Amino acid sequence: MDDKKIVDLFLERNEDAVKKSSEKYGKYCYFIANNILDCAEDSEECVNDTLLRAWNSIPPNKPDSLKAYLGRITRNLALDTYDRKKAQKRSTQIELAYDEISEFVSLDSSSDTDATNEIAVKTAINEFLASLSSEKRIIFMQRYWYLCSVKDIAEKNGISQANVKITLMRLRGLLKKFLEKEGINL
Amino acid sequence: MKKRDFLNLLSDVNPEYIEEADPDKAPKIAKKRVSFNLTTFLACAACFLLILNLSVFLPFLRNNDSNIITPGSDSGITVNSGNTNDSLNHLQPPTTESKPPVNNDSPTTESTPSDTPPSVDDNTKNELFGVLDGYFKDELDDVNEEIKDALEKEEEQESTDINDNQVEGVSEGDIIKRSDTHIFYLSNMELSIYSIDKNSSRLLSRLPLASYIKNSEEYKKAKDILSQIEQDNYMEILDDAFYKWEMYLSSDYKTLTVLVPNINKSFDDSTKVTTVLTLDVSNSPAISLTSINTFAGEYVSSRIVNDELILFTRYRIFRNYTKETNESFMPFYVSGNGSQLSRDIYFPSELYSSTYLVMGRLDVESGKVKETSSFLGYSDIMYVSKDNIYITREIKNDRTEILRIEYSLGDFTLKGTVTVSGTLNNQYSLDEYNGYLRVVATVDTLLLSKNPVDKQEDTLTESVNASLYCIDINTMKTVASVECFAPEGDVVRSVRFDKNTVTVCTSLYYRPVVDPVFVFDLTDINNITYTDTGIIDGYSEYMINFKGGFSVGIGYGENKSTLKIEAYYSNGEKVISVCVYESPNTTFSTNYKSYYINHELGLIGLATYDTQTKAHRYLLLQFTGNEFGVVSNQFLSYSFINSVRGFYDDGYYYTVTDKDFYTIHIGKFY
Repeated sequence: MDDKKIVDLFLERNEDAVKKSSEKYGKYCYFIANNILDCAEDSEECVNDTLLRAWNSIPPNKPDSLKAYLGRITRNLALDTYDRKKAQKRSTQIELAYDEISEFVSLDSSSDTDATNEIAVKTAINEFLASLSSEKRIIFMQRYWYLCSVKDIAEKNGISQANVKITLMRLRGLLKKFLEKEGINL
Repeated sequence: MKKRDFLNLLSDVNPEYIEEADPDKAPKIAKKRVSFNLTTFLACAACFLLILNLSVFLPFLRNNDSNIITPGSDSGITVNSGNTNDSLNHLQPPTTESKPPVNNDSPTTESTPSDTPPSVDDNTKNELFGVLDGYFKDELDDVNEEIKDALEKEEEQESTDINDNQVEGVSEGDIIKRSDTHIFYLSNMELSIYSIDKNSSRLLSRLPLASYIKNSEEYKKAKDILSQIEQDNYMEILDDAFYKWEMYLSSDYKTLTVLVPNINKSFDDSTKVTTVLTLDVSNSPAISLTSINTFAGEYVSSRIVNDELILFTRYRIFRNYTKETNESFMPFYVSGNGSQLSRDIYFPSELYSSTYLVMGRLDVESGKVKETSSFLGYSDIMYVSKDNIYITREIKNDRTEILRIEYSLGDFTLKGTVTVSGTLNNQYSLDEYNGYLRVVATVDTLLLSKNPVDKQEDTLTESVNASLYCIDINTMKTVASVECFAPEGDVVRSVRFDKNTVTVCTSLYYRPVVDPVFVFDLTDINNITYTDTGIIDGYSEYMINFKGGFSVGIGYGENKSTLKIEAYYSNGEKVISVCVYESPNTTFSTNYKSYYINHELGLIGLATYDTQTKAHRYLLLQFTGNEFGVVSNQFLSYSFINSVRGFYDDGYYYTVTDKDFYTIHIGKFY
């Protein structure tokens, strides 16, 4: 079933919407959650919560891309869950990602983001991603959006881990410079 | 900002990017740029690659005092010690036939596969379609004399090659080829044959070529992707699905050579191979299979010169070495004579990759393999002149090594290497003319240094620019150069050589909304001169030379949602923007092979997509020398714009998409 029909089911308040979403994107959402949580049980719970949240938010929302919409909910839920449970178990990938982005994000946790700055950062990130070649953007997104390991990215893209690491390091440098040019200081 | 906040903000990126990067769906990355000036990271990378390569070449022992390789006792490889090169080592396989494991499903003989595709007659009966759509403009009454002359000249020309080949006499593969009377079009793993007959043009038959390889994994994968595309409109992965299928039509229109990405599953992990189908189309639309050959590695590129096919594939090795799989580490090909190892293997003294670039040469008519050679560690950017092949690889310190391989005298013969600073965009970054190889490269230097304020923190500084090099092909030495000619921060976006002139477009890497266009005069390499436009809006992704010294760039306007086509002319003092065609809210085909360029008539054709009205169109412009006239801008039914092709013939414009076929009567030119 195509995404438009599934979204229509949501809009019609037809419970098949959840079933069809689960069939089509359950595995995808699980992959995102498990990359962050590294725990099958928590990841499954996160997927269920994602579907519930989608049910509660469509309508009023009507996503153009159901896949990205569900992926985004899963990612946010998984990050929340991770924050709650990290005292018990730390995920290596997310900690590594935190370390990597600390190159351009201030370590000063008191410098909270205001709403205006948040919009500017979001816009700048999208502009930065738009300026990248598809290849580089995929590597960046797989690492920092999907939180895939360097090894997985290398395997999935048929390039060496060294190449992935170097590309990521370079992209972080470019993003830092890009944000600075935009007058954004994280 | 907290690090976690940043990850949260990243959640709200454009959904397109989320879908694009889906690890299960994203297309494999064709890596082009690998080297950086970061000593620390290079050391790490070198260690990693060293380990990788050691595992690949475990069976071979290295002589300490030369570049010659001594085979290990298990390798079964003989050594050609008399044919080594300054920087490259050379291996030859045993003269006795060696047989790497080959999937039984893969065609190994010249016989017709057991699962013969439906005959064309059946197809004709079952799938006969007329011209699906079209519209007509005014009659061709007022075509001026110049255009008539051009039309007559075109009729006199023997070649009907639609593509804007980089080098005259060196044909490039594509999904469309035409004879005087027929159009051959590859799409969805099918070969469609249309008649060229003005208003009566029609689809004659569809031949499902996939049935030749229907059991292959690549076929199944492509079918999966196709079904996904139907659902989710995944434009990006379409490239991987079947854009790599390409073909050639021989100059006598009798032989069609189709290059098919395929997979050989005989190894533990499936090995990508390229299948070459040779089809007899002399009685078109009736078609018969002449031969099938299979080469190790995924399809990269190809050319046809003097009715010989030169094929480039990339053979990657991911497996761990064991004695049992020894031969699977060597590039091979499979023909009517069985499986054979690649004849020559060259590898550089400094290895950065365990990927072979495999070069094969086949006789177009018979499909017989004449020669193969393999180059370890070389990349997918290659340039083919009438006499030489130049292949490239990126090496440390952001440099590019270029090999010259002579092929016009028979065998592939390595003649020399040269290294230049920077990295190349694509094949158009290279050109051979009058004994010189000319190269335009982006020079990107990335330096990691200690922050002068906070010594604990590293600072990343980057310098980006563009350089031009002239290399004597006999000595393979750089004899002239113009280094860092662009504004700081600019990368090379497009290049086009035309004898002693080269047009180069550069733009900023981050914000590609402004660019200069440079025109170099290379008549005297000891006194290279150039002029430029200064900073103007947009940048060109593809550059075309038109007669009269004009260059036309196809690319972006003030933002990446505006199509901009701009003509330039250098008066010796300045490069002038002659005229511009702009279409806002328009994306366009980024596959340069999909552009129709008619130099005689000044025609430029390409498929576009209006992001606001969601309309697909085929835009046909005529460049008159001082303006762009819109000859037509026809609607297309839903189609993938990169797969749309079109061409002009005798008063009519033919447009083929992966779904439809259109014929338009061009009544009036500008």
